[in-house]
Amino acid sequence: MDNKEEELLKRINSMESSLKEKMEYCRMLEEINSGLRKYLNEMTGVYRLLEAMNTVKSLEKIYDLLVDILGSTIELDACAIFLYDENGRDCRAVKEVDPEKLVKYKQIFNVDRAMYEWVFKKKHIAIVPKGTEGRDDPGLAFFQSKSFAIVPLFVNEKKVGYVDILINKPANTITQQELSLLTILLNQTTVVIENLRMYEQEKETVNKLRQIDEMKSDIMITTSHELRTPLTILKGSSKIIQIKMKEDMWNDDDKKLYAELIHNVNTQAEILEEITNTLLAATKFENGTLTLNKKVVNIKQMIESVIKKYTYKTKNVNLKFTYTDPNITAYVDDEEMKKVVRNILSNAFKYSEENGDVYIDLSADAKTFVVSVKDSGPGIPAEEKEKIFDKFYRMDRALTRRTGGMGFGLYLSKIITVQHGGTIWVESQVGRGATFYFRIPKEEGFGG
Amino acid sequence: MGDLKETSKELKDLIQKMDDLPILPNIISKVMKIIDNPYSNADHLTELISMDQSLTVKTLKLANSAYYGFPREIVTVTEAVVVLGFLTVRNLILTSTLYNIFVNESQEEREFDRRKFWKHSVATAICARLLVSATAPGQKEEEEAFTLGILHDVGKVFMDTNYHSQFFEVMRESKKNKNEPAYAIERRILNTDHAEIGSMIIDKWNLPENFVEPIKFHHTPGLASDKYMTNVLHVADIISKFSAITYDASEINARLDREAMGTLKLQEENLRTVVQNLEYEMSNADLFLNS
Repeated sequence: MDNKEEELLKRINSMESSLKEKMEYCRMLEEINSGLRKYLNEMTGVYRLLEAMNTVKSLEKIYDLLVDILGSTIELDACAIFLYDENGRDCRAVKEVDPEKLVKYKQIFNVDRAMYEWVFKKKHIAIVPKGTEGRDDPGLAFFQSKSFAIVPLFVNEKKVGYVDILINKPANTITQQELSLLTILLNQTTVVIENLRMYEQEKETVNKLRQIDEMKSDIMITTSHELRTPLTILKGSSKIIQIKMKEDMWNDDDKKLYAELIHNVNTQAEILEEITNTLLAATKFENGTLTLNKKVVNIKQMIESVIKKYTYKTKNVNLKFTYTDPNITAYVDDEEMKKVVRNILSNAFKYSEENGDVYIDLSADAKTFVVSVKDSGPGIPAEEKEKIFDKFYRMDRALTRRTGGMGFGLYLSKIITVQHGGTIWVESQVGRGATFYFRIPKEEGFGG
Repeated sequence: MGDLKETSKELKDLIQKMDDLPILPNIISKVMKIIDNPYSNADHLTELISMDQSLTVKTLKLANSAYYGFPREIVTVTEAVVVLGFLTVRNLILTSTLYNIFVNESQEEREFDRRKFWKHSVATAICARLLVSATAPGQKEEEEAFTLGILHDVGKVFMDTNYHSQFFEVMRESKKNKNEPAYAIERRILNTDHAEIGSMIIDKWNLPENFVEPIKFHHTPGLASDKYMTNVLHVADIISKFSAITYDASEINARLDREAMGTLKLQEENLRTVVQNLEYEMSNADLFLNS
């Protein structure tokens, strides 16, 4: 080998080693590049989630986004997000990706209750180990190309839920970065979910408060309106009496007028009393302080005593009372029961046509008695049937102006019936009158 | 052995020479490096640990101990890593390695009871973790607190090994003079204290930099700039000292530094939970004490 050849060989060798060096650099650069790409991808995921935290207001969208981000940052195969209800008791899946596969692998990895309990105690992500059984089973090796992770979800110290994740790579190749990324993503999402849930709850509370506020305004308006009529009549009647007394006129016509005025005063005072009593009873019922003064009562006699008081007012209506047995007795509050009968009757009278018929009937079985009142009024549309027992409800019809009176009566009747362990309802068709029923247990402890 | 009552600079030079310092096995710094790399996985750690058979056995023994209470047997280091987490396994490795250095390798009976010392280190580690969990929970922080607890008195081992007679004097003095804290006596006799030496060892061992301050100032937390971890370590040290005598939280509370407690926002009822849990966890920590 001459010098030239030797020189050439040297140069080739040096070129070769320099090429090798360059290739090594290239490989390193490639490695750095792929690392950076991966990192960029992960950070994009975190960024997307952070961005969504400020804008997305729907839980569903957050779940979708989370699954999407998990899919692009870790090799997600299947997953399910479980959240506890507000009481921390029931846990249900709010988002699932391929749940059948997840269940299958849950069995393969033998993920049991004890695993979850441990994860919740430790409050951090854990990947379920293969378990000792079948460790050397070559068939199992296939399944171990995947790993099963459980991530507990906490906000502060509160257990919010958990996520089951099937990752498409074996546990030993999952990097610290991937684990911490999973933790960060899920922790952040948990905060978002909790905030959104609280937001929803607040919204609900605000709506409820608004409803209560509206109801209060309704009560104010209705009450003041309804109080005004009897008060006007009372004021007018007493004013006339006052004037007449000054004039000292006592002829027969005046006597008749006095009688009428005094009757007005009485009637209106009774109406006022009823309104006040109902308001009082409703308040007591709502705060749970309404008490009954129960004794054994003959129901037929009780109904008759109500009817007697009413007959002088019911010239225009034909009232018929029927019963299956005159000796039906029940352990009830006599005065309160009378209120129910009176309210239903007065309702029937109000809505009945001139010279119409009102039927009141009493029947009983072994444990309960039922009173029904049928009128010949205009009837009640189906959609109104439930509402008429609500507080201050009154059908918005021209008729109400004629009949006056508040929707209190039926509401009070419902309160008393419920307090006795009974039920109240109405059957009706528009144009064919209405029949009100109430069923009360004869003795304490028997449901109607 | 030289007289340590020289200037602090000379002392530092001495330590720089590293001649007397216990050598941290190579494996620990390698483990630390792997844990520091976020793109490492369980395979990387397993590969390293499995080179040391006895370390593998010890790590698995600890991983399966009642202290971690995992419902299934953990059979491989990989499983230990994916179940318990990288940082926990790092602590397991560190704990069993240090146990060898601190307890097993001390040949003869010494005045400085290494077993008692080790028990205190483990109690401080567990307590520090509980304190973090009660005040600012997070797996990373909890594991870091544990490591600091195990390491916080490493300076004492150094003193006992290399400056035995002076350290013996410190202990004798400390028994006589209950009012003067041991670290002050150390300063008087050795011109330095175990906290300072400990922090230098951490530095020499190439352990994470953020371990230096909490260890250096664990008796004087007011001087630290990393207040949180230093306070955690300070309070954990005191609690574990007293809990060797009593697990009565209010009695322990009376002896704690108000300022440190205030900074940690630790109320007496949190403290009660910590002390109760410490009692429970210590009863499960047998393997740590005799690994």
